[in-house]
Amino acid sequence: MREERLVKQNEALVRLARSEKLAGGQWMEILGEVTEAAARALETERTSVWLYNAMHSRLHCANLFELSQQRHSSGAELAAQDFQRISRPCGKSIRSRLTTPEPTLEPESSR
Amino acid sequence: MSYLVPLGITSMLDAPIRAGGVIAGVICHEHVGPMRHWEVDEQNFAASVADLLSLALETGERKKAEAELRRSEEYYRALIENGLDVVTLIDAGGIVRYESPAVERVLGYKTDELLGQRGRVIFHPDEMELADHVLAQFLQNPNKPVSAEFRMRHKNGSWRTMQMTGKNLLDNPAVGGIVVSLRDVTENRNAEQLLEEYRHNLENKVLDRTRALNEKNQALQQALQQLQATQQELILQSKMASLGSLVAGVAHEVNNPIGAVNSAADVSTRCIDRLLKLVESSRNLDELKGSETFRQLVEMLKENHRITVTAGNRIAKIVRSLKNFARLDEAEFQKADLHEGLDSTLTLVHHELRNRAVVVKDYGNLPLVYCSPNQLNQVFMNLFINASQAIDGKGEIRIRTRFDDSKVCIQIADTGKGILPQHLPRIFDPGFTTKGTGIGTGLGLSICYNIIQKHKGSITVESEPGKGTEFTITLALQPEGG
Repeated sequence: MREERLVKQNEALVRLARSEKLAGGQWMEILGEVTEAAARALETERTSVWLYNAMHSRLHCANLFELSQQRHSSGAELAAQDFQRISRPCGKSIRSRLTTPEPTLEPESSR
Repeated sequence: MSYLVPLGITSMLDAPIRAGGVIAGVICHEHVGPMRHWEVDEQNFAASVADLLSLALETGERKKAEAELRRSEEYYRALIENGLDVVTLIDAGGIVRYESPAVERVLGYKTDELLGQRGRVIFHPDEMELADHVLAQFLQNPNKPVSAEFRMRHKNGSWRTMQMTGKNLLDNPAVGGIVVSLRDVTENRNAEQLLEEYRHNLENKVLDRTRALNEKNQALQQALQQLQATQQELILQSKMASLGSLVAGVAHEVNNPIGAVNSAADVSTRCIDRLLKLVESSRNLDELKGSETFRQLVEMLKENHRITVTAGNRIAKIVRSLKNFARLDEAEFQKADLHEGLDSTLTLVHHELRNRAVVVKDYGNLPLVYCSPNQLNQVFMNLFINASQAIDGKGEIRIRTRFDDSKVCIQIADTGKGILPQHLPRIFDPGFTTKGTGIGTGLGLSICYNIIQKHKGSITVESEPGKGTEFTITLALQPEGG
């Protein structure tokens, strides 16, 4: 079971690492591939990439992949103060939770 | 919770995406369904994906920055290479390390022609010291702008005036030199010089004009003085002429009664001789008294005596008039009877008027007028003589005086040939005459005008050719307004 997961994860990582676009810095163009590959490898329902604006005051959803729907979308926005899931800056990956009861999540567009 | 609950999210795994040491974003893995525990390998996988994205993000940023730098470099290069000014880079020793392409257009040298040489090789020999001084300024003041103006030799041998601004950036590793911008301001300086010359020329012109104007003014002043002298002379001449005429008139006037006295004396002498003879031949007084001859001789003597008295009176009157006319022994301005003045003047010009004009006097009641009688008489005489000369054959001179509205009005009208309308506006001008050369000086009426002006009065004229002319003099009782 664990072996299967690792094989799946490694395959996904290798595929992504080989991507010329990723290496060339044109990662925005293959964000969809990253979220989809990660979602499939981890078998999670929603995998999304959020990026801060220049002021670090807001986060913008650059890509969201929903596994059950096989669907990509983007455009959601969230105030940074409502997104405090990254609580340990040094952590490589963090298991965290939403601490704010009312995050501002605007309806996702399917752009 | 409202974000998680509607979506049914029960477990999350987030990993930061970093770029340049800061968190640029996050990749979120959200699980829906029964709570899920994230295994270590899953957490590692999430971190690895995030690291891949971080790497890609940093690469992208770097590439973007590189592109930006390239673009910016190209931009500045384009500015320098296409600019109008020459951009030069020199080192601490004043050696040229770079010349922008403008150097060829501005100074005629190829961009690599001066490289490795001291910049001062193209400086004007007189400005070597200045060049050294400016270089010292650069070296002593890093990062501070230094400006100067030099003459530099163009490839074609001509000298160009160059405005220089530069900054010592030797410490800046990206530059490592003194950056100097050179602008050709020869034309500006020439234009400025030209402008200065124009201004100078203009000043000179103004000075010349002023001088010329002053000279003209002086000439005019001289001409005016000359004119005044001439006028004075003419006035004198005119006075002499009227004096001559006056003297002739007076002589004539006096001559008649003197003739009468002489002839009366002659007759009286003969009468007395005959009377003496008659007395001797008479035997007694009764015979003498009864003699017809004796009676006739006595009558003749009586008549002669009457003639002599009349003539004497006449002469006395003329002398009185002369004295009255001239009033030489009196104050210039005084209260005077104008009728007396008119009559005296008439007496003196009697011989001029006689045989030509009948004088009709229409005198009103005049109070005494504060005036210069001597001068007014001169006016009257002028007007009488003019009137008389205007009459061809027989005519009439009418003198009318009135006192009205606190003003004295004297009108002297003639039935002469009149004045042409085109001459009317000029008759008071000095030197204007219609009498022909040798007859009038053209000053008579001008003098009249001046005298009346001096009295603060007015003299006007109305005339109709063929009918006659009328002069009107109006005077206040007190000309000084007192």
